Amino acid sequence: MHDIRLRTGAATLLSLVAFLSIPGAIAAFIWWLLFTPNLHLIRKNRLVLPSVILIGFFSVILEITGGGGVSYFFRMMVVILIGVWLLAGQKRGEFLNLGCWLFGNRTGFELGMLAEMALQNLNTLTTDFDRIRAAERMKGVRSGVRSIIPVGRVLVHGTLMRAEDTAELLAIRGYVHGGTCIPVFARKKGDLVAVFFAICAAVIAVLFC
Amino acid sequence: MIRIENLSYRSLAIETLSIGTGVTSVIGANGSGKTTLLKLCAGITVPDTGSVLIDNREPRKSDIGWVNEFPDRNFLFDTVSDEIASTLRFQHISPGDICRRTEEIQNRFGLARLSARMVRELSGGEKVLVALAAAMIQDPRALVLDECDSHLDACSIQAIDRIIRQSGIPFVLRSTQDMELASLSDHLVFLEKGRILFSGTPESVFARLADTAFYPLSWKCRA
Amino acid sequence: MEVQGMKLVLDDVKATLGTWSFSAQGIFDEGLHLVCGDVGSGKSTLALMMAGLLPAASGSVTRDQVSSLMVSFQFPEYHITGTTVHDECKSWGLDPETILSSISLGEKRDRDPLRLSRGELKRLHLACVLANPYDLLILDEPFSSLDVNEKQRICNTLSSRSKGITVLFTHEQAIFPRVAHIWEIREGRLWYCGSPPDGLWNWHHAPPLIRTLIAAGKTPKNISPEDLMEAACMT
Repeated sequence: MHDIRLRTGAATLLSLVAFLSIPGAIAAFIWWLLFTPNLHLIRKNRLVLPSVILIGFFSVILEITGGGGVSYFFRMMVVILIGVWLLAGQKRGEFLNLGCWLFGNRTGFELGMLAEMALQNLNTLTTDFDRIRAAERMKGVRSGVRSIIPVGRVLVHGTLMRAEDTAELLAIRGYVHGGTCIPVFARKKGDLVAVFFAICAAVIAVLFC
Repeated sequence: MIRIENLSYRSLAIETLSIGTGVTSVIGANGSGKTTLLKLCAGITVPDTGSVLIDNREPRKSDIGWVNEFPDRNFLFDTVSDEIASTLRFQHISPGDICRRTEEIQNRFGLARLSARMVRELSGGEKVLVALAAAMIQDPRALVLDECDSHLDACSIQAIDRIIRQSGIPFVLRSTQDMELASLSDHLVFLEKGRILFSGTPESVFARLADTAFYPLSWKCRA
Repeated sequence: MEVQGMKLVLDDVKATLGTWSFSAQGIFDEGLHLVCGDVGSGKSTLALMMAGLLPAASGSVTRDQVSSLMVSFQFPEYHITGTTVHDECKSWGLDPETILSSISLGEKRDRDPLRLSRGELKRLHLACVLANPYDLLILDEPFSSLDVNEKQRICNTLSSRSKGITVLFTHEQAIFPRVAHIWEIREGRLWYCGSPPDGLWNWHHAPPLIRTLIAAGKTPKNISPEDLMEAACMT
């Protein structure tokens, strides 16, 4: 889906529908199978497995303590898959365009720019993580719980240093609140079809509730 | 004139310093206070006591261009044109004016063919050019460069030096570990442990540093 | 020519990233190899491939008789595992007092290494890396964040390194150690220039001072500051 407005709207709707009920999660999952590159996305995104482990952990606790863990796991997994699809299709500058279109050139610009910077930082964190793990391995530090702390320290430190550089750049370039932006959106033929079926999935979920 | 009077900030203490127009290089060992001095002159930090004035105005009330050491840490946006236009966008200047001025500076810097490219995919020299273009687009009163040449080869350094000198920016303040580059400046300031030890022309300052590693190698070989 | 003993072999190695591509072919034997190139030319990518941390798109990287290996990244923060400077030295298997006294950081032994200045952290990191006798040591931009005094000191240490394969990736233009081999990356390819002094003739992007000396008929024996000054004084 090329239009970020449609993509974000569909992702929000499907995530909500998936979270609220099992029929909703099933409908959203079927939509995900039909309208996204599905398995390719999972293979490409390194955050899927850690997310599954984290959700699985909380699901087990939920199941043990009161039940509903299985339902929770399935619903959250669909939400994660929708989220992965939303981010995988993201092109640079889209969130800035979306922010300005929704909330104007002051607040919208700021929110959009923050979203872009957050995603940029996510990419940098992934590269940093790889280098840190490689450096640890060469030093003879094995992967495991004990290695998480030094990795975490260096990642946080690097993020804070970059944040300081970014803050300095923003200040020196005269950033106060917002900026000039003329939002531009791309769209392909299939976008509206996919959105239509996302709405259908939501309606079906509501009917089955 | 850049005038510094009774300045103190952290370990940096400068009683008085006057810098005329032109290119001024600030050199010294790591931890001598070079970056601290540059950030005070750029208005990124404010002194605890004393003052920094650029043509009798505080740095925060002047237009200043800033480029720091690491090419990859100088960017807010992803594409070359967005990055160069950032200062103008933050000032809410009209899209037409932004377009015209961005195009003009891209042509001047030879960056027009890279306009739609992602900044992170450029070479080190190209990244510094983009950062410089972004810093210079609003015709700043002073250009402050914190070791931005430290990741460049000789060709890129020469090209960038040429662009800076042709820009007409009255004050260019830069820190560098390249003593050959420092020797080409109009003025030189040597810092040690937060104090100005020597200040003046490159000839006069380097004459006092003749027996140190700071003395340009090409000058040693000339002798 | 067959190279005996410890060696690193790049056999038609290729890497691509979008529109950028890079190829390398050559043999790195024992000694200090200088690999020059602009930032973004592929030095870091090649360093990672040599160490086996990044797979090549095609071709192969072989390390013969290399039983220990270290890559020193440009940003020393990546290597930090200790919460104090003292512990960081120990994490490298080294005696903290010896290391810290050699780089005048003894009074900061209890400090968090991430709270050191950039230059201090780089000094600490390089002191630890160079104190260990790795069979293959790859240094990615070791002079980054160092001042002229520290660069000179590191060059002296590198020049005296007698064992193993040391590969020094840098875009440095002035202060070099004495090297055994010079390589350069240009036009998306790794080129072998040769050993000094003959290799200096093939070094296309040699620093201006070296080019000036060669043009004046005063080819230095090697590329350290002392060699350049000696050449400059030749009549």
